[in-house]
Amino acid sequence: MAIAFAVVYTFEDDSGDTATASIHVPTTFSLSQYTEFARSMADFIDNMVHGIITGVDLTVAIDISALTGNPVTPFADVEEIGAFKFITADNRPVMVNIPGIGESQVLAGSDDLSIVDAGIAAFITAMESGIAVTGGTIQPCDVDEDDIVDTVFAREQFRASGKRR
Amino acid sequence: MALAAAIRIDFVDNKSKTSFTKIRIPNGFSISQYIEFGQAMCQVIANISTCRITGASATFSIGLGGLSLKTVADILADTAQKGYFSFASGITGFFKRLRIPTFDETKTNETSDTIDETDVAVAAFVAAMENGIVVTGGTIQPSTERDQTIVSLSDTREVFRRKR
Repeated sequence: MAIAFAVVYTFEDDSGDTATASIHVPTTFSLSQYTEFARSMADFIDNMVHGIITGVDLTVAIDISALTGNPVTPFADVEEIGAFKFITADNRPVMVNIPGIGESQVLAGSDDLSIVDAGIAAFITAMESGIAVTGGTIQPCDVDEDDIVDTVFAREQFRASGKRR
Repeated sequence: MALAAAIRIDFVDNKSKTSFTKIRIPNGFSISQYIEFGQAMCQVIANISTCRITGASATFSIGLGGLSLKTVADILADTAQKGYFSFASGITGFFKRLRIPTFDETKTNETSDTIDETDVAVAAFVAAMENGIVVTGGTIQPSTERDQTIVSLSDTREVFRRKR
């Protein structure tokens, strides 16, 4: 049984507080069709509420059942992160923090991640050069769609859990 | 400029603590291409993380420009005040429940917490949920979280929940 996609509406009230509501939709349509649906439904919902709709997102579940090498290890800790700083073509910084980085990927006597480690190197290549998909290549970018072009640093850091983006 | 799409990847560690990371990607590709990217990126990250990846999703921001939506919240607007709708699917026992924040109290029945289903706006929303919305090339029919098509409204109420 497929997990349906979700159209998520964000609302704001007179005090500036926000809340969301989700409507699930089948998985067989295109992005443009979902966009049409979400905009039409926004009209219907707007007529029933006192607040304002401040945003709509479509969330698509990704099937990860085919992943290999994905067990949790005895020393796994989400607070031990790999902090990667990239820059875009317009020199804008992009931070990506990967929870659960292993100590074996850290260079001895430093907090730098080993960029010659096969796994770290593969991740950096995917971020800088993109990943080939059927019919094209998807290149990671910043929030304004400016392509990532280089890595500034990759180091081990420690952060409180549940706070990384 | 369009807001970039995002891949979110969720993690759990050996003490069951959870976390996530996000990677931004450009618009302009198809959903199947984004899924392909997400799966490949999850594998690359699974190879460097000692945590287990528990889920992944792609999020696309949908523009609301050009619609005639309210631009200022009414003074009565409160996200804690919600319109609760429960819809039955074609499979017994599986429902789609949603709570719409800042619900307009004038659309509830007097001396009751039930929502007035004869109200024009409420009726239009319920019809859209039950029958779907026509889009170019088809009709998108809302479903439950497990993709079971909604068939009928089963319950409505005005409810109050903590703000979130």
